[in-house]
Amino acid sequence: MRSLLMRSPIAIAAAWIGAYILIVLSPLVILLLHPAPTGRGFWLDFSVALGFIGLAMMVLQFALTARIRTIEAAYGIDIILQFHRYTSIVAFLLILVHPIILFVNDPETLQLLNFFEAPWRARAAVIATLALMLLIVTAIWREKLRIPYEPWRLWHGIFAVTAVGLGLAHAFGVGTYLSLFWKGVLWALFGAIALWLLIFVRLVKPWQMTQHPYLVEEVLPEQGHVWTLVLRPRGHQGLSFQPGQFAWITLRISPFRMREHPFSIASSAEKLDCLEFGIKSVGDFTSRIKDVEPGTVAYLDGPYGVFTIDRYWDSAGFVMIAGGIGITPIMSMLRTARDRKDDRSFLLIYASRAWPDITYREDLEALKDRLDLTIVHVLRNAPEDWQGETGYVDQDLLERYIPVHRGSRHYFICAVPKMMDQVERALHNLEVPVDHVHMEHYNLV
Amino acid sequence: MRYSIMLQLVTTISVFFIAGAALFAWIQNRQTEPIQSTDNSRGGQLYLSARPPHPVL
Ligand SMILES: Cc1cc2nc3c(=O)[nH]c(=O)nc-3n(C[C@H](O)[C@H](O)[C@H](O)COP(=O)(O)OP(=O)(O)OC[C@H]3O[C@@H](n4cnc5c(N)ncnc54)[C@H](O)[C@@H]3O)c2cc1C
Repeated sequence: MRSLLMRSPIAIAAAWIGAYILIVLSPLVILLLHPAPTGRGFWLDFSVALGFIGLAMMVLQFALTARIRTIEAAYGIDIILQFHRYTSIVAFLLILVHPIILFVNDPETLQLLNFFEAPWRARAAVIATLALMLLIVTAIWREKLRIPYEPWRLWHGIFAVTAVGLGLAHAFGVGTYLSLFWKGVLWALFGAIALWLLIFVRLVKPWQMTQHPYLVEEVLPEQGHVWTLVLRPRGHQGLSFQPGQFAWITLRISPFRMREHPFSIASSAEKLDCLEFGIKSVGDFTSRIKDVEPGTVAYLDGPYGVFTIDRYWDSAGFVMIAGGIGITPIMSMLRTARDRKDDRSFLLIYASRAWPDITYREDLEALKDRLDLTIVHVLRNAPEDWQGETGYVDQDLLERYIPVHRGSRHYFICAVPKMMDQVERALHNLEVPVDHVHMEHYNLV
Repeated sequence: MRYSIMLQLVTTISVFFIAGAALFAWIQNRQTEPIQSTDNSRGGQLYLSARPPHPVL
């Protein structure tokens, strides 16, 4: 699978998308294979088909966000979540258009909006649509509405379950298409899959995490308001991961509470007895890391991510571009390369605010003795006697450092979103092949 | 950039779905079109499937 992915990521993408389309359209295909009620008019059937497609897409959102490793391992969590966002909006529009067509086609059906007199199947549809509206509004404008991440995540789940549960109930209630045995079975299967995914995410996964606890070994200060959190596995082998991957950390509380935060593993993939995370203080959770006592229990869900040099064994070398805390996954890749005595060339272009803010500065210098590593520091606020690069990582700067044979390297970018977009565009302009550029986004939501 | 590729992909999939829904509706209703009877002596038309109305919402 992995070698096929490296040979032809497009073939794998096409297979995934084909499977997605097939699953979404399967209710309609089954309807066509069986004798179905006919003679209801094109617009009515079209509207119902849109409703079915929208509902099937909603059910599949549960699979997209359940952190299923086979799905996630193909393209990475940020790509999957972007797909989740776009397809949710499409599903929402289809579900919204579905009753609008009915109302235009037969204005009498507007009576079904009379919540107190309408049949329960219509009430279910109204509540499901409202839940879906709230879901979309709070997801798109979460930051503008100033909704903190934790309560948002909880309500996101509640709205999603309400929308899909009542959507399925509505479909069964209407019954026209579901009264036939196999159609009912298919939708029951969709419902069962959504329910299983919910149980898997909320109960099975947390339970698995409780079976593999970690203890905080120490918390060490680093430059740039960053703390290194060191975790040691208790009673198990620890997490085997590829350098550059990340894990979801639950600290102090039970994993069943689902209050976990994603962090890249910063230590070497060759050293499993202790895992290190470099955590920058930016908000509620991260600003309290420095106060965590040794011996505190932690749980990990992972590893996740495709931002790793391990997928590109044949590459002649690597170009790493980091901004601020985006250095952590790159640190793991460099430390692993050191431990594996990797003799390929590594170029690190590392943007920081000022000289004292450069996280892992000394560790990086030490790595230069053990690796073919070139480091280019780029400072935004440089001291007067600074001889190196200043300002932003732009196209001119990249052109000065990246190899002439662009395709001979793989490029890893991890920084704030704006810098990542600029660097990605610059690399594209410099004719770096698009499938040689890999990015890790820290702002998933 | 990769997000704009994703946008194009999702747009294509959506068009595919809408076309699929339209095709479904067309197939479902195609059979209700009046078809010419082979028996010219009766000169009538046959309608396939006349079913009782179903709830819609
Ligand atoms: C794949 C990945 C790897 C990351 N690796 C690192 C790392 O190595 N070092 C590091 O310092 N930071 C890393 N981050 C960012 C880190 O997860 C957030 O900074 C942290 O969760 C913020 O939590 P907070 O409560 O302190 O801040 P808040 O002020 O609550 O949140 C700031 C922002 O962080 C995001 N965020 C908050 N909580 C979560 C959550 N539970 N899950 C997902 N996103 C959340 C939201 O966008 C939020 O708006 C990574 C993020 C991702 C997605």
